[in-house]
Parts: sequence; C-alpha cells; structure tokens
Amino acid sequence: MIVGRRQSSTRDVLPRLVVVQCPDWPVVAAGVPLDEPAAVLFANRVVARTPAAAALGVRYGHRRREAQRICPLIRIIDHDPARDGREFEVAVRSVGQMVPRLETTEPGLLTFLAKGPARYFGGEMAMSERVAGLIADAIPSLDPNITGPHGIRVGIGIGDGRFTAGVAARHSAREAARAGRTLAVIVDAGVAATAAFLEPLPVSLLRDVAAVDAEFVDLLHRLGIHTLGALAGLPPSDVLARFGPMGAFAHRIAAGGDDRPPGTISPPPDLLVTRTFDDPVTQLDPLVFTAKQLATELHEMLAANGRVCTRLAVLAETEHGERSEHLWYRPGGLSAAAIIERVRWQLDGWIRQPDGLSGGVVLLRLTPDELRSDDGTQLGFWGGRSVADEWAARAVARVAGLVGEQQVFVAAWRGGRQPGDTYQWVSVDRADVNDATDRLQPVDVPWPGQLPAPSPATVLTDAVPADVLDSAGRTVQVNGRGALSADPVTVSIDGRTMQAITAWAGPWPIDERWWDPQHHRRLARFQLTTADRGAYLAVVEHQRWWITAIYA
Amino acid sequence: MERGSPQARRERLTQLAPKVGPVAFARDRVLAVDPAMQPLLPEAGLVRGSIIGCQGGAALSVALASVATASAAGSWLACVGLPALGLRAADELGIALERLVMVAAPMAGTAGPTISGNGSSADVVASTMSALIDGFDLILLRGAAEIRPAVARRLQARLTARGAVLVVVGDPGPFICDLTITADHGQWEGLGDGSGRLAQRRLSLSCVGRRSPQVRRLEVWLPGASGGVEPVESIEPSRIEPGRVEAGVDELLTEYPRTG
Repeated sequence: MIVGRRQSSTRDVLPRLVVVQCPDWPVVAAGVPLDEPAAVLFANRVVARTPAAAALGVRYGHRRREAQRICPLIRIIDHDPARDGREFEVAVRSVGQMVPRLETTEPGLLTFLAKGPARYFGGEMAMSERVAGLIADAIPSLDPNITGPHGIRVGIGIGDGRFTAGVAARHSAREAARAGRTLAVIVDAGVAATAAFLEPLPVSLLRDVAAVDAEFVDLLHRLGIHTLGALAGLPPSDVLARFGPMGAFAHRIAAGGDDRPPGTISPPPDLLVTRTFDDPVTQLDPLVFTAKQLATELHEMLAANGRVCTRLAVLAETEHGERSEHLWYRPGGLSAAAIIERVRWQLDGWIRQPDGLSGGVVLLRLTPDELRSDDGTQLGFWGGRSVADEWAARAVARVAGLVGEQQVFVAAWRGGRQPGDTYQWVSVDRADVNDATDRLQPVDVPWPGQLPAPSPATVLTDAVPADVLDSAGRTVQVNGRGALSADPVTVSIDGRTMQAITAWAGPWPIDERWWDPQHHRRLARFQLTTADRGAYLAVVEHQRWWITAIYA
Repeated sequence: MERGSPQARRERLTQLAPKVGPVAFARDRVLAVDPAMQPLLPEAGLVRGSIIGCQGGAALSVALASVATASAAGSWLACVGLPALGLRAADELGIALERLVMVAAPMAGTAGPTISGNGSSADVVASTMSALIDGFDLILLRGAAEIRPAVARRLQARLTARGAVLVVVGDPGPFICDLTITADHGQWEGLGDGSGRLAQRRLSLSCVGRRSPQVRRLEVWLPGASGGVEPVESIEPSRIEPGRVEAGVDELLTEYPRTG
C-alpha cells in the first residue's frame, strides 16, 4: 500500500483545480452591448471582441484596419487593464463567498481547488453549475437567459493541474457559446485520463494556456508535431536533448504530468510584508502608494535570495474587520510593478463596491504563497535587454508613482495621414516600456496621402486658429474640388499681426473615414513659410484655417 | 625577454600607464553625436554630466538632432514638458522611439496630479527630475524657467554624479549651461509659390561654452534631404554662381598652364 502511494506520489501532489474563464472579458468590462460589434484593441491588435463582431469575422490579432474593413461600424475600445481588473472584482467577490483561497491569474480567469467545494456542493458538476450561477448573478451581461449567439458565457474546466483545467475551461467556454449555456468540462482524475483528454488537442494550447514560448510551438508545427499526443509520444530524453528544459516541461505537461515550473517551493511562513495604518485610509491612492513600497520591499527581499514570487496573497482589512483577501498568480513571476497593478485592481473593486466599506483600511499585507527560483532574464550584451533598459524601466516606475501613470507616456505606432497620427503617445499603464515590439510596428507600411518627410518637429496638441488672406484681404477659400479662391498672401496666427507669406504649397486634400459620420473628416493641407521665417502646416476644414504643426 | 631589460620595463610602463593615470577625462565620457554636428561641439560629443542649452528658432530640432545618435546607440531619452513633440520628426532624425519616454507636466503651476501626500509641486518636480536623471542618459527639458534655483543646483550636482546629459530647450532658467547652441530660424528650401514642398532647411548654428569662450559656427542641413542632419558642403555644385566657376577655372589654368 505504502509502496503504491510512493510510486504515484508525484501524481498525488498535483492538485485538482477548477478554472473559470470568461472569454473576451475586456469587452464585458467595458460595458458595451454584446449584440453590437465592438472590439478591444491593444497595440493596434484585437485582443477581445463581442459575439456580434466575432460573428462578422473579426478575429483576435486583427489590426484596426482589418477589423474596420470587415466591419466598418465596429466600435473600437481602448485596452484598459485597470478597468478589466476593477470590474472583475465583482465576480471574484461573488464566487469568493463560497470558495476559499480563490486565485486570479488575470481579469477573466479564476482558479481554485476543487476538492473542498465539490464535496460541499455534492459533486463537481453541481459545484460548477453553482459557480456559473454566481457569476451570472454578479455580472448581468453574462446572464444565461440571453440566448442565441449574442451572449458571452463563462467556461468552467475541472482537471488535474493548472494546464489541464485551463484547457478544459477553454473548451467549456467554446461549447457554451455554441450551446447557449455553460456546461463544465470535467476531466477525470489520473494521469491516464488526463493524457487521453489532451492527446488530440493542438500544440498551440501550450502557448495559449501554459505560456510556452511561441517560437517553440511554431517549431513543433514545422517538425510535424501538431497534437499534444504526438509530443507526449516522443521519448522524454530525446525531447530534453533537442529542446532543453523548455521542451522537457512542454513534454511533461502534454503527457498529463506535473505542470508547475521546476524549482517551485513553498515559502517559509514568516515571509511577508505588512503595513498598518494608525489613521485609517479611505482613499485608494495612498493605499497603492504604500503597496508600492511593500512590493518593492518584498521583491528585493526575494531577489536577494534569487527567488521570485509566482503566487501572492494580498490582504487588506478595515478598522471594522472587513477583509479583502485574494491570491494572484502569474506563471512568469510577479514583478514589483505587477504586484502594484494587482493590488490596485483588488482594492479599487473592493472600495467601490455598491454597499461600500464601513471604515478606512488599517492593514495591508502581502504574503508570498508560492516561490520559484528566478531564472532571471539574461541581459543582452549587444541588443536585447540591457542594464540601461532596466534602469530606465525603474525610473519610469518611480516617475509614474510621483506624477501618476496617466502622465508618463511612450510612443506607439498608429498610422495615419496627419503628422500627429502616425505615432501617438500611450500612457505607460497601457503599454510595456521595455518591450516595444507590440507598440512600434515597422514604419515602412505605405499610408497613401501622408505628407513626405521631413515632418514637423512640433505637432500642436490643439490646433491654433489662423486667418489666411489673399491680396484683396479676403479669406482664402478651398472649394469642394480642392481649388483655391485666390493665392494666399498674408497670414495671422492666433490673432497676432499679419505676416506676409513667402512661399506656400497646397492644397493637398484628404477625405478620411467617409463611411463613419462621427469621425468623417475632409480637409485640405498647406505648407506655408512666413516673412518671420516660420514654417507651418496649415489645414482648412469647414472653410476655417488652422495651424496644426510647426516645422520648428 | 629578460625582466630587467630596458625594453621590458618600457613595455611594462606603457601597460601600466592607463591604469595609474586619472580615472577618466571628461572628453572620454562623451555620448556620440551625428558626424555632421561634431565640428560644433568642443569635445565632438555630448559630455556626460553636462547641461546643453538649445536656443533660437529651431531649438527643438537642434536638441533632437544632438541626442539622436546617442539614442539610436542605446541610450534612453526622456522628454519633459514637450507634449507637442512630433514623434514622426523624431523618428526621421534617428531617435529610437522604443527608448523614448515622455513625462507630461510635472512643472509647478501646471495642472498635473500630485501624489496624494502633502508634497508640494516643487518637490514633485525635483523628485521627478532626479528619478529621470538616475534612469536616463538623455533628458530633454522645456520650461526650465519654472524650476527653482535651489532645485536646479541639486539636479545639476546629481547630473554630474550620474553622468546623464540634460538638454534644455529654450530659456535655461536657473540652469547654468556648459554649452549653449544657438540656432537661427534657418532657410527652408523646396517650397515655391503654390508649388513644391518643404524639403530641407539650412541652419546656421553657433556654440559657445562655459569653458571654451571661442564661438564655434557651423552650417548644417537640418532636416536634410534624407530627414536627418547633413553637413553643408563647402562648395556645392548647384549653388556656385556661374561667374565664380569661371574665376575658379581661370585660377586653375594659371596654376597649371595649358601645354600646347
């Protein structure tokens, strides 16, 4: 008996987990009607879309223009992780009344241990129905009574280990969208059952669920290994020899084995950081500010031992004993910035709940729940990540803490015909400072109608009104066919004294978004140089002149 | 070779010389600038820890052009008080947009949010600027006049210690600039009377330093035909007047008289 248990001991430690997944959570959080086509874009790529948009053919990863080509009326919503996290707190609180130690990986993805709740509610099936009901009650737009294709339904998967349960939840979500009601996908316990469930599934799940390197998955495809079963069928030693630890890990989870990254340990019980407030705090900002200090403290403490926290418990308590405690999980490890972000999501939703809190917060505690040895990021010698990148990222985090994340920006490619459209500023809470691949696309994409280089060094955030007059002192007009009433001779910018125009060119008309009455713009552009040696980009729109940029 | 031989000693000395000499000369700690702008700067680059003021009509373009090469080489660039910066122009000048961060408005008197503590806005300016100095090699600042002199002195000391370069656009306010580059408005070419387009601009730059009183002058195309900064050739074929060309030919003929 004992021998038998020993043999299966690696199996026994794999917990049976429930994963609750809400696909397209960002559009639900944004509160758009799900029967309207809408999509959430991050770095110009679709990351979530409503069922109506999906029915029209808008896919994940589409660019803004592709999505608009398929569906010209599509509503584009900005990606806002803070909003997603805040709104998801409602669901987390609702399920949390029933289930202990609830863990959030990202907004829209919940995980908890199946064992206790399943026994309490009389079986895994009964429990999953209960959970689906709780979430539907908490978030009205996920109501199961909305039938037809215009509903988003949560998926619930139960299985051994995080990977299996996560894959099951994805299946469940897909089936739920088709069937119109949530039906949990339950994978039987045991390695054999798990492996049998995973066998016919595509290897791309390794990338989507287990965050395995996309390049590795691509390589598997090119080698003709398309299913998890095919990968699991390879000899483990060969996989290790050919692909290294990453391959061994992928092989192990494809075969239904332990899916925790190697080197995972439980932290010593006394490892935690706490801050108590003598004066109860009722505002969110000071709490997040304190969380910043705690997160940095914790991160440095762990980093000194070469460890990184993968699961963290965040606890806040008010003076009257109301508590908010969540577990946050991130397979790659929680950096200080990630911890702060999660504390903000949790507390923002908690403080803003409808019945509110009866008192101020007096305690904030961060407790690491699972640690992993930090394999770290190898800093690049030439190219790649460097020490300078690290310093800059730290400085950005500091400055964002000082002036607010909405006040610190990085550049992102957007594309457009106006000089201010090609690139735009994106605040750092919505973009990755160190990894620019998402936000800066290759710039040699043709964009017809763009003015050729050189571009103006100053692009005014608000256009300045101007008067452009001809030799008779009348305002120069541009007609619908792009013809001028007379040559421009003098210009007055923002009501200042008249300047003689020394040279000019134009009009270069553009007619943008004619299919969208709200955003339709028709304008004609001019370049002007004036007697005081200024060079300007002027625009005529609705027969009024504006200066939009200065060649400073 | 024997240890005591004079030749061996000399070799040993040449090996040791760099180790026992001064740590680093200021001119060794420079960030590269575009070759076209090198003649303007005394050390042919941006000396780490220095403050460079850019003034005149084309100050912003000059500031961007002076940091472009260092930015492209891997330095991070922070812009403070420049929300209207044209990113496409920055890209054309060669600035690496992936290493560019903009801080909107930490300046006193502007409506920027402050931390929820009791810190005054002047403290926020000081801490923001010092955080940037700690993390960035290059800082572009406009609106320096609003910084208090005491804060400016502290920042200047920190800049020297950390080795970052502060480029102040417009009025330097309380900062004491190590170098001041003055640009005129320049002369645009390519735009006609209802035709053409702005193609390139000829700028006259002058540079005067705190430690180099001699004024250096330079003419550049900024932006040049390719979008970046380009040197103005001393003799341009297209700009030589016919009379001068003939004179030049005559001189050549007198120097090398035709045979036969």
